[in-house]
Amino acid sequence: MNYIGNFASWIQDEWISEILSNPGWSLPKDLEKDPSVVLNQDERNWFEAGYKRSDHFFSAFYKEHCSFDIKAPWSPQSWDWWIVKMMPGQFIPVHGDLSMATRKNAKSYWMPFQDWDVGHVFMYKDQTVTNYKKGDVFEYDASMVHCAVNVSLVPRIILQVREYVE
Amino acid sequence: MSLTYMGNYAEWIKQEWLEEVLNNPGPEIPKDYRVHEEMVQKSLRGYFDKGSFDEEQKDWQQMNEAYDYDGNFFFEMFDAPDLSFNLKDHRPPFLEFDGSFAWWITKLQPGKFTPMHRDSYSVGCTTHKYWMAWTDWEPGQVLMTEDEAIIKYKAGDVYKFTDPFILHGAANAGMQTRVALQITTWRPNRGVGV
Repeated sequence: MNYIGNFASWIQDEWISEILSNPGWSLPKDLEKDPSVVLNQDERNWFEAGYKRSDHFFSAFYKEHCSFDIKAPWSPQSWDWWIVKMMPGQFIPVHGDLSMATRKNAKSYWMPFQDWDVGHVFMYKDQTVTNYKKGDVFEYDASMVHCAVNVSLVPRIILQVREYVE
Repeated sequence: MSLTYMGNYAEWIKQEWLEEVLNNPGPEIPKDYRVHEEMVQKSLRGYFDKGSFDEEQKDWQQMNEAYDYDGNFFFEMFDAPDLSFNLKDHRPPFLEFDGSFAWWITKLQPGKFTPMHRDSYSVGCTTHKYWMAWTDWEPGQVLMTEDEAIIKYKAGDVYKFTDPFILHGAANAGMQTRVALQITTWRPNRGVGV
């Protein structure tokens, strides 16, 4: 995992307020609403391990869920973005983003929208990432196994960015 | 740092203990906590001390307000009366003191967790507190304190809390069930450590 820099001054408070006050897309529960969704191998592994497809692990916010757009200040390339909101007790089970395993010239980044709080953890391969600051940007290989948990008393909000080099 | 590695004592763990915990449902915390605690206290000390229970509940109340667990549960907790074995008859070899001790086992199935909390009920007594993995670490599993996140442990690894009152918790966002033993010298609800 590579530390890119801190861009805290770029984050708008109203983005955070909007994320906190809206439900977003409930995953994996809302996947059931779309019959065209095909589970990937990691998702099938989750449900075989006992995770319930009808549960709410976390909330995802894509462009269509937000009144604002994101232009990541560290990246001039074409990209996708989404925001993850984990309330206390929520998590993303271990997975690798399989679409990234075969995609060339793609990079993945994550950026916390708040300072780290005790009980917030990002796990990546055999590392844990804690003690980060609001606005820190990390580049990582999203095809590698990773997950996140929030067992604190406050929400955890993370921006995810995919960069596609033309 | 708040956790000190004490060594690996995997040979002390009996396979049948682990299987019993893995193969049976345990009391679900916090859903079953009140009923379970009353049963445990009556089994171990002959009566239920509502005062100490209410004191311990203050932290849990804060969690209940922050966590929308919707009748679900965080984790399973086994005490001596829940199991066919009693570790009082199999004293752990890593304990650094003589005399009695309190123990309990936590089971976190995939997606389960222990919210960050303090064992505030131990304040006022000399306290030793240990955590022992009964299953090998799997990706997605973590033991956390205010200043550490422990991963890559092996079944049998023992950590001592250098500060037994520090904020701590655990999570299992992995694919396998995680089992761990907790031991402390002092847990007044359980009638030990005097």
